[in-house]
Amino acid sequence: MSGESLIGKDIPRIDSTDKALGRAKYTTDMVLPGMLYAKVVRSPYPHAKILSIDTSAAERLPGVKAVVTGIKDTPRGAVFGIIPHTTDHVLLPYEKVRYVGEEVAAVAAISEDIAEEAVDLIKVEYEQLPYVLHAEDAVKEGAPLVHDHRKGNLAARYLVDEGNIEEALKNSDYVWEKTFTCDVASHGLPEPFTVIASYEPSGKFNLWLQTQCPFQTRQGLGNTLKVAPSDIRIHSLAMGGAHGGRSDTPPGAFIACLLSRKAGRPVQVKMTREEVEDCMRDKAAKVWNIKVGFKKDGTITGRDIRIFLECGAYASSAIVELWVPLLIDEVLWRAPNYRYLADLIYTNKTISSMMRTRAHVGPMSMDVCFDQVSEVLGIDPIELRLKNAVLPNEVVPSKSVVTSTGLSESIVMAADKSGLREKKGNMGPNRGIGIGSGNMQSMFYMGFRSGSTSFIKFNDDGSCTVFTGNCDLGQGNQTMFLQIASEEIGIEMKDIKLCYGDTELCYQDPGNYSMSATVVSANAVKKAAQDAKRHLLEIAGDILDVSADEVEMRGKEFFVKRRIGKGRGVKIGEVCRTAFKRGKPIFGFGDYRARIDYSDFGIDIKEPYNEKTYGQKVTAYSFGTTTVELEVDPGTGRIKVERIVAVNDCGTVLNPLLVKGNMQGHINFMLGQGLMERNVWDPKTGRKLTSTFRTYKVPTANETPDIDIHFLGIPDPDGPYGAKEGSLGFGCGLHGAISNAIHDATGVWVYDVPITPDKMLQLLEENRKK
Amino acid sequence: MTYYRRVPEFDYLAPKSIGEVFSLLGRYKGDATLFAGGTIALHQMKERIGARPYVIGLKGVSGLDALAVGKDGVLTVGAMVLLQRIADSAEVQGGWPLLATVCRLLGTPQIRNMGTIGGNVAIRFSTAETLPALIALRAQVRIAAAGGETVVPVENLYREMKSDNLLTEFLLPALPKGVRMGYRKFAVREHFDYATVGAAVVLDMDDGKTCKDITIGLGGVTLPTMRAKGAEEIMKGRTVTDDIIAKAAEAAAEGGHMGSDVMFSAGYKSKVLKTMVERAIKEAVSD
Ligand SMILES: Cc1cc2nc3c(=O)[nH]c(=O)nc-3n(C[C@H](O)[C@H](O)[C@H](O)COP(=O)(O)OP(=O)(O)OC[C@H]3O[C@@H](n4cnc5c(N)ncnc54)[C@H](O)[C@@H]3O)c2cc1C
Repeated sequence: MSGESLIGKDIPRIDSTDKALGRAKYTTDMVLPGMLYAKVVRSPYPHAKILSIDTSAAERLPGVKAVVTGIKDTPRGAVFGIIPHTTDHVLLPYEKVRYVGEEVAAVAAISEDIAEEAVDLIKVEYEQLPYVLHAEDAVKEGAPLVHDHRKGNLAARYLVDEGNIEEALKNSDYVWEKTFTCDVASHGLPEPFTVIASYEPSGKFNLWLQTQCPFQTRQGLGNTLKVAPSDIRIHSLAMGGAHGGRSDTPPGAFIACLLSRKAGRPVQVKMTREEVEDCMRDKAAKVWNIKVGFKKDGTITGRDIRIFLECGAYASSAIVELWVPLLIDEVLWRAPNYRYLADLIYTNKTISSMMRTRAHVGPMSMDVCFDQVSEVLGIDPIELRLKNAVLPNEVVPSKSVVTSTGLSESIVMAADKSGLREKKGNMGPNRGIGIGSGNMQSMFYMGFRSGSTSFIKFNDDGSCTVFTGNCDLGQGNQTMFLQIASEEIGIEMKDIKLCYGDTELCYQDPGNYSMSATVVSANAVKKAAQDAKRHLLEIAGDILDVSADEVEMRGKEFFVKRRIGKGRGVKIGEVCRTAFKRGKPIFGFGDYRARIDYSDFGIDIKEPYNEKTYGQKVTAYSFGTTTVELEVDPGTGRIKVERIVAVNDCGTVLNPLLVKGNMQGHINFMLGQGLMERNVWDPKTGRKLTSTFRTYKVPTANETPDIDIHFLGIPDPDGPYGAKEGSLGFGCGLHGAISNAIHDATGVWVYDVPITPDKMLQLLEENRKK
Repeated sequence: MTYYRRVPEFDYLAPKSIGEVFSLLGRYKGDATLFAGGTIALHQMKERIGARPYVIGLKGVSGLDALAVGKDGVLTVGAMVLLQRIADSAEVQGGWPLLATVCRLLGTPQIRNMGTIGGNVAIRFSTAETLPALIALRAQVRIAAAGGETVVPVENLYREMKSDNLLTEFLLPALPKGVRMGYRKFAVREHFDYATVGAAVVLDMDDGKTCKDITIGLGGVTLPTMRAKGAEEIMKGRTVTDDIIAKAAEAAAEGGHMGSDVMFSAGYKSKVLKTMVERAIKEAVSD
C-alpha cells in the first residue's frame, strides 16, 4: 500500500453530485421500449371474500394489453413468507382480501390514462366480512379471524426464558413495572414504489425495482411465480429511501411479472403516494409491558418483557417484528433472569414489516426505568446505568456473545459532553435534558444468506470493477465498497468501478437487511481486494524476476522493494496485460461468512411457539447514547428539540463524513416518529386516513436540531478494519432521552410515542390538576 | 374509493382581460374553472373536485397584479400577486407588516413563488392563512361578476362570493399611526406546514394602556367565525392586562367554530387557538 490510508478519512459520496443535480437515475425515471403501464384494482374493504371478478369490459378497452386477477393468474399454493411458519401472503389473492388497498386485479395498457380507465371497468363482487383494526380487539374472544386457522389472531409467538424470572422478581428489593406503547409508523419513502418487469420468451424475467436485498426479492418472486430464481434477474438503481421498507417481495413486482408475461412486453407498476402508504409496509404498533427487579444497590436481578405487536394482514415478513426487539432488548442491560414473550397479532390493516427503528420502545422503557428507579433507590441515574450496562464479551440471555461494546463509555461521554449533570433540573421553565442509550445488530442469522461473496476483475489498463450483490439505499455503500477496494489494492477510487445489486452478475448477498452491509458485504469486498492484490503482486514479481513478497506498489507501479528509488518499475497496466497473455487475468475473490452459530430461529416449526432459542444470533452489536435538550410549549404541547449530543460506538469509523450524514438522518427519522408521525384508521371503513404527507407529518430539514456528534472508535473484532453498523444503534435511545427530558422540563412522564402536541398538552393538564 | 387521480384532460384558455374571462365563463357555462398559480387548482383537478373540461388561466389577464399604495394611502394587492412578492415588498413590510409576515411563514418557497393571494383566499379553506390577516387589517376585496363588480369586506367574502366570480384585488386601508400587530400560527412543523389554527391581531392603543380598537382574525375556524368580534368587544375601551387578554382569548376560542380533523380533535384545536390569540395580542401589545 502506497500513500496514506483512506480509512477514517472524510470521503464524499460518489453519488452525491448526481443526486444533488438531479442527474441520478431512479427506477421511476426508466422507460423501456414498448413498455406498458399498469394500474392495480384494490380492495375497498378491510376484510371480504372475493366472489367474482368481471374483467371483460376492461379487456375490450382499446389500448389494454393484459389483465390479471388472482382468481385466474396467481399460481395456486405459491405463498410468500420469509420463513415457513409465516408463508401466509398470496401476493395477488383469489379468496379473500384482508386490508383496504390489497391487490385484487391489474391491467397493463399503452398509457397510464388508459390503464386508469380500465381499472374502473373491472367489476369485483365481494362479500364483506367483519374486521378488526387493533391488536387489543383482535385478541378478544369472538373477534373476527383475519386468517381462519390462526385462533385468537395469533400469528406467531416468540419466547426466550432464561433463569427464573418469577423467583428473581419475588426476591428483588424493588420491582419497577410499566406499560409502554407506540403507534404504527410509516417509512415515508420519498420515491414512490416503482417496478419494471420485462419477460423474455426464453422464460426469463428482468426486473428493475427498488429493493434493499435483491437476492431475497429474487427468491420471493421465484417462490410465488413458481419459476426458478435463476430465471429472474434483479437490477438495482438509485433509490429514493428505504429504511427497511424495501426489503420485502412486493406484490407490485409479482403483478408486473404476471402482466409482462401475459402481454409479452415490459410493464411498469408505479404507485401513487396513497398506494405506497396504504399498500406497502408499516412498522408494527406495540404494547410493551415490562417489569424490572432491582437489588438495593441498583443491580438488576431480572427483566420480564411481555409484548404485543400488530402484524397487519400478513405475517409474511412482519415476523421480523417479533424477534428483532429481542436482539436489542436482551443486549443493552444485563439481566441474569430474563424473559421475553412476544405475540404477533393479525389485524385488518397495512402489513407490518422491517423498519430501521422498530425496537425503540424497548430501549425507551429502560431509560425511563433508570431515571425513575434512581430516585427510589437514591442512586445517581448514570451510575445506575453503568452498573447494569453490558460489557465486552458478556453473554446475553439467548447466548450471543457481545464481542465489542462501548455502551458504558458512550453513556459517560454523552453525559460529559452535554453537561447533563449540571443542566438537569436547571434549564428553566419547560426546558429539560434527558439521556438514552440504544444498540443495533449487525447481521442476524439468515441461513445460507448470512454471508456475502464478492469478486473483482481487472481490465487491461489496470483499472478494475468490484462486484457485490449488495446495493445502496442512499447510505453510501457504493462509496464504502470503493473506498475499501482502493485501500486494499492501492489504486485510486476513480479507477475502480462498481457493479452492484445485479443478481445475474453478482454472487449471493444478504442485502441491506439486518445492517449487514458493513460487517458482511464490505468484509467480502475487502477479501476480494486482498486476493486481487496478491495476484497483481505475483505477476509483477514474475515480470521483475523476484518473488511476490519482494514487490511493492507505489502509485500505479510495482517495484522491487529493495531497489525502490533506483530501478525501473512495472506499470499496473502491463501487469494486467501480462496476466491476460498468460490466460489468467487478474481477478480477486472474497467471501465472508458471518460469525453466527445459531441454526434455528425457533419459529420454523409448526407450533407458533418455541421454548429455547439459544446461540450466537448476531455478528456484531453497535451501541451509543444520545442526550436531548428540548422545550415543551405549555400552551400547545408542542415539543421543540434544540440540541442533541450523540456518541456513536460503531467501531472504527471508516468515513466520518458519511457516518455523520447517516446519523443526522437517523436523528430526524427518530424525531419524526417520536414527536409527529401518526397513523390513523377510520373505524367505519377500515381505511387509513393518513396516506399523504399532508396528514402524515414527517420532519423536514427545518426540524433538524443542533447535533453534536462524537465517536468512540473502539474496533470490533469482526467488522472490516473494526467497523460495524454506524447509523442506527447510537440513536435507538433517542425516545428514552426525549421522555426523560420532558420529565425534566415538566415533571410529566411519557410512556407513549409519538408524543404529539395534543397528547403532551393533555398530560400537562392532567399534571396541573394533580 | 380510488387510488388513481391523474390530471383529467382539459383545454387551457388564456384570456387577456377581465372581460374575456367572463365571456369565456359565459360561453362554457359551468364547464370552465379559474386557474391562478395552480398550487391547489391542479390538486383539485386530480381529486376531481369541481374538475371541468376548460381551464381559464389568469396569468395573462391584465390588471390583476398591482401591488401599490395609492394617494389615499390604500394598498392595492392584485389577486394574481405572488405570495412571495408580498412577503418581500418593502411597502407591505412598512405599512402592513402583518400581511408580509403571514406570507413569509406560509408554505414553502416553491408554493410562495407559484401561489397567489387571490388563490389563497378564493379556495375559502379554513386553513387559508392570508384570510385572518386580511380580516384583521380590515381589507376589502373587489369581486367581479358577469354583470359588474362589488367591493366587500374580506370577512364577508364567504357570503358574497359566488361560483364563477373573479376576485380582482384587495384593498387595505392605511392604518392609524402607532398601530400594533401580532401573528401566531400553530402547525405540527414550524416551517412548511399549514396552520392548524392561527390568530392575526391589529391593535390600536391609547397612551399605551387602553385598547382603543382591535380586530382579531382567526385561522383554522369556519369562515363565518373568522373574525373574533366577541373578543374584540371584551378588549375595546379596556385597560390591557394579562387577565383581559386571557378573557378575550377565551372568548375568541369559544366563538371560533372548528371540527376535528385527522390529526387533532376540535377540543384540542380550540385550546391551542386560545393560546394563539393570547400570544398574538401580547405580541401586538409589545410591538
Ligand atoms: C405543498 C403545499 C403547501 C401549502 N401550504 C400552505 C400554507 O402553509 N398555508 C396556506 O394558506 N396555503 C398553503 N397551500 C395552499 C395554496 O398553495 C395557497 O393557498 C396558494 O396561495 C393558492 O394560490 P394559487 O394561485 O396557487 O391558487 P390556484 O390553485 O390556482 O387556485 C385555487 C382555487 O381558487 C380559485 N381561484 C384562483 N384565483 C382566483 C381568483 N382570482 N378569483 C376567483 N377564484 C380564483 C381556483 O379556481 C381554485 O379553485 C399549500 C399548498 C401546497 C400544495
